[in-house]
Amino acid sequence: MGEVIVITSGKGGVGKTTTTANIGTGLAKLGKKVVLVDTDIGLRNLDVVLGLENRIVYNLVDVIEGNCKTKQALIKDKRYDTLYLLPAAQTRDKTSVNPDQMKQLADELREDFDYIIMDCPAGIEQGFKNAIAGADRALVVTTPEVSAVRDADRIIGLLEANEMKDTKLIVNRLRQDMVKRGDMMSAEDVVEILAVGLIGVVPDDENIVVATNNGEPLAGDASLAGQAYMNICRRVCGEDVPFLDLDVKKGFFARLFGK
Amino acid sequence: MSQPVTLKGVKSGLIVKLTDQGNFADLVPEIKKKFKEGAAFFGTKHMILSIEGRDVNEEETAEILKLLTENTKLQVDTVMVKDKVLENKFQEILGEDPGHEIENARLRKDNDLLLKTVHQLEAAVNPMNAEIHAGNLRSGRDIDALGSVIILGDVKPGATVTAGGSIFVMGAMQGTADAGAYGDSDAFVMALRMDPLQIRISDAMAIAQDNVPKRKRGFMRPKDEIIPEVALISDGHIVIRDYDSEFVRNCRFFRTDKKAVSVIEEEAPKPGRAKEQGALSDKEKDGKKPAGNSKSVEV
Repeated sequence: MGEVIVITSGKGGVGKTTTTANIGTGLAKLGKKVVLVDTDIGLRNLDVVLGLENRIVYNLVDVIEGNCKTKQALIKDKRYDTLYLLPAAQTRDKTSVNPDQMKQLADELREDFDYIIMDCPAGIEQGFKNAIAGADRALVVTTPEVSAVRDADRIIGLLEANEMKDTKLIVNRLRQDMVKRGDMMSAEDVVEILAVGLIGVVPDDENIVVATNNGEPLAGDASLAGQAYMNICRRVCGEDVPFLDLDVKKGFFARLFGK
Repeated sequence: MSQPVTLKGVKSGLIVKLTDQGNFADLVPEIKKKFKEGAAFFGTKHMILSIEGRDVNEEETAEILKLLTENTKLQVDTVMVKDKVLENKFQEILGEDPGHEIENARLRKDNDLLLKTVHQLEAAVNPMNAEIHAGNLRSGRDIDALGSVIILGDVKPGATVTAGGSIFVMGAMQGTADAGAYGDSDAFVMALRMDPLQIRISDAMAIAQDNVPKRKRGFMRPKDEIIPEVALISDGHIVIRDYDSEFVRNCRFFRTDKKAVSVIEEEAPKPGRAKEQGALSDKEKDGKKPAGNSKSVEV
C-alpha cells in the first residue's frame, strides 16, 4: 500500500514543483516506486522540470473523465524506471476535478506505487483542496521570507482543519551567509514561528536553476542542494539523517580578504 | 397454413412463433424438435426469449423455457410475453437482474450515438477548407477544426492544434499538432520553423528528441536561416523534410482528384493518439542518425 504525500506552500514561487521533482527523483534513486501527480491544472510545470513535456498524450483530466486508463496517462521518467509522472491538463482549469475524484485516483495509485506525490498549486482554492484530498501526509515548502512564512502558517492551519495528521516543513532557498550576517531568518527561526517538525533545509544553489532549465532534477548529486534533497528523501522513508552543514566553502582569496 | 412452430433468431434474442390453432400439448414435441435442430446454430450466447402468435399461460411458458434450456446451450436473460405480470414472475424464476437488459440497451444507444457522431464528422471533414487563426497560440490554447487550419503566428509549447485536414503554421511550430485527426493519413503539418513537442498525423505519432539543444532564438539566429519544413507520414512513420517544390509536386493533398477523406470505422471520434511512437528526425542534426525508427527523407 502506497503513501500519498502532498507538497504545498500557499505562496507561489517558493519551489513546490522543484521540490516535488527532486523528492520524486530521490525516492526513485532509493529504489522506491514513485508517481508524481501534477495537480496544477491549467498551469502545469512539473513535466517541464522533469524534461518530459514532449511525451504528454493524456493527462490528469483525461484520467478523471475516463477518456483513458490511468496507466495510459502515466509517463515513465527518462532516467529512473520506477519514477512516473501524471501530468496536468493545460487547456482546462482547477474546476475540472473535484476532491472526491482525486481521492479515488490516489487510492487507485496506492495499489501500484510506494509513494504518490501530489504537486499542489499555489493558493488555497479548489486546486489546493483537490491536491490535499487523498493525502496521508503533507510537506510544506517555505522560504525564509516573511511573506512565504505567513502563507505557510495559513496553509498549516488549513491542513490541520482538514485533519492532516502528519505535516512537515521544508525550508527552501536558505542562504547561510545571509543568516550568519543576521539578514535572513534561519531554519530554526522559521520552525519556531510555524511550530511544525522540520524535515529538510535546502540551500539556495545556482545548480538548481541550471537543473530545472535542463529538465534534470539534481537530487543525489554532489551539489549541496542535491544532497539536501536526498536527505529529505531518506527522512521521508523514515531514516534518521543528521542535517547538513550548509556553510559554503569560501575560496582562498575570499578567506584572505573576507570577514 | 404455415408451420405450427417457427423459430426466428434476431440480434439479441430468439422469437418463438406458435400457431394459435389446437392444443398447446400437441405443439410441445414440435417445439422440442425445433430447439434441438437449432441448438448448434444458436451457440451459447445470452439472449431474450420472445413468444409470439399465441397467448401462452404461465405453465406453458415455463414448459417452453424448460425445453429451451434442456435442448440448447442458450442463456435466457429475459422472457418477453404480452403479460407483464407473467414476465416479472419469470424474471424472478430466472433470478436475473433486469438491469442487465437496461444496461445493454444503454450501451447500444451510446454506440449508435457514437457512430452517428463519427459519420457526421466524416461528412464534415474537408481538408480543402481551412480555418484561419490570426495571432500566436500560447500555452493552454486549443484549436480544433474539422478542415485544415492556417495559423498566422507561432504555436507555443503547451498549445495544441487539432485538424481534420492539414495544419499550416506561418510562424514557429513549438507545440503539439494533430493533423488528420479523423483518419486522413495524407494530412501534413507545415511550419516556417519546425520545433514541435509532438506531431500526430492520423494514427502515427512522433515526439521531439530529448537532449537536443533547442535552436537558438532571437538575435543569435540569422534571419536567412528560416527554412519552411513539413511533417508527413512516410512508410507509416512521421518524418520532417523541407517544404520545397518537389514536396509540392508530389503532395497528395494538393491533387484535385483527391477523394473525401478515408475515415474511422469505429472507436471514439478522436483516434489520432497514442499509437506509433517514433522520434522526430530533424535534418538540422545532420550527421547524427535520427533516433527511433523514423526515417528522414532527403531531397
